[in-house]
Amino acid sequence: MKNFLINLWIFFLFFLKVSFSNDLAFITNQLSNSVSVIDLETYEVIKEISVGSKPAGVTVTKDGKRIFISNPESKEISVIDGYKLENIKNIPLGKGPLGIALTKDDKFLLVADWYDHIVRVIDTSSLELIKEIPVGKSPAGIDTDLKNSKFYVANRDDHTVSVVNIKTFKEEKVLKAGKRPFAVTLSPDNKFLYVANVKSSDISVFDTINYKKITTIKVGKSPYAIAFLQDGSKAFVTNQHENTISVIDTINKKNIKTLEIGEYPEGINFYVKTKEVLIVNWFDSEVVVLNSLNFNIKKRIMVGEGPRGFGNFIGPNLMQN
Amino acid sequence: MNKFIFSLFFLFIFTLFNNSYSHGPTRQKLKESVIINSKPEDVWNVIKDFGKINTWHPSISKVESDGKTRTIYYSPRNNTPIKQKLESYNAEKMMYKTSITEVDIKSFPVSTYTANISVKGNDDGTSTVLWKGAFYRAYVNNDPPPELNEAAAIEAVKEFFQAGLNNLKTQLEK
Repeated sequence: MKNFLINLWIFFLFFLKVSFSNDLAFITNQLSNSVSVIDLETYEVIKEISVGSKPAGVTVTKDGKRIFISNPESKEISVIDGYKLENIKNIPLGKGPLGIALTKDDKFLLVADWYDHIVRVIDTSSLELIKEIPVGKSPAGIDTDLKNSKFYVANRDDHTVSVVNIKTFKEEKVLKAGKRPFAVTLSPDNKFLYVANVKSSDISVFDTINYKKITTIKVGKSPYAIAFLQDGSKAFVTNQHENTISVIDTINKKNIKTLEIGEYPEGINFYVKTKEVLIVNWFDSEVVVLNSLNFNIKKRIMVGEGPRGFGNFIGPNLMQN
Repeated sequence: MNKFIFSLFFLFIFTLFNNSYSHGPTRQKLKESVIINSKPEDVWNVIKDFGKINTWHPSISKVESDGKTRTIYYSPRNNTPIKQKLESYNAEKMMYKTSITEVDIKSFPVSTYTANISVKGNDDGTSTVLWKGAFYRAYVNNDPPPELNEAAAIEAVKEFFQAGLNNLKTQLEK
């Protein structure tokens, strides 16, 4: 019995360690040229890292060792070291790097260039540019699939989405979206692609097998980004010009709820461990922590000026180890 | 040579007019406020009518409005017409939000502009009017000329907000 209790205690401690091992959120502050690092255990900003000029896009490797930031004004990618939480390198890149994503194996960094109308591929181990892929006009948001076979990019000024093969680095297909598509996000099972159209204020939903447009879901004014629950049952959309987020029931493909969230909500991510949705409010310069089950706002965290947080901004905290 | 001038001309025309929906990568933010020695209800009464901004904003020579949209003629910049839309209205919270739907960027160099004006009461009986703007520079391509860059956009909106707020205060405290 004593042994059993000790085992139980060890198990409990282990469980504690696992469930509370902490993560960080990296929020790009476009008007203060920095990245705010939020500890997702304490919800405190633990560091503000200086990066390039007018940072917008962000993506983090799975192991948390590298955080990549796009700086459209200084035309470079900032590389942040996950152990030191320091900007260790700025890579000059094109005319207007904006949307940014990693392939799921973390081998390639994809950077959409707003002015050059191409997506650049950077080898994440050498940090060398290895390919330039022509896509549509003013490419913005990018998402990559689980099989490392395709990526999708929204071409804002062409009203399309490019489907690009990751093996050949060639555009395979062009999908017709709504007006001014900005963000693309795959459902967690990768069966559907959701595209947020800023000008038509709706979401185009595509089947990723036959690339047919299944439906269009009306959301709030000027949708900016999309985040799914881990089980894929709901999607959350930030509506920039309405200060709200739309909650989409993905089974019935319907907009089921609109929540007041703060001014100019933009970047949005789902945090698996706490089942919370993190929303970046550009005008209020804060990150809102929203409970995804009861839709209560748990916290508002002040960050730098004009935060955008466009991309996947959550990664493991390596500082504590 | 002729061809060169011709294409330059087209490039110029293109940059002037092709910008109602496209924009650069960095949105600008502007907050201007004024404290007025009046009750918030009284301040709201003056500004609440979206179509009658010319009754308190000194730089608007004329306004045409159907209640949902308005065209203001902005005197500091050659009476340039600026077409605006009422995006949302909340009488209870004493605030409303407008956007610009059409503007000549040579006169007023902004794009994708929205602004929110609100009145709040303070503990000492005064009111604070807060005008908040979010907009992009007018130039949609890279490396803007100075008259169409971020600083020019901020200057234009700042001038518009400040003139309105200052006059509102003068008018109410008279």
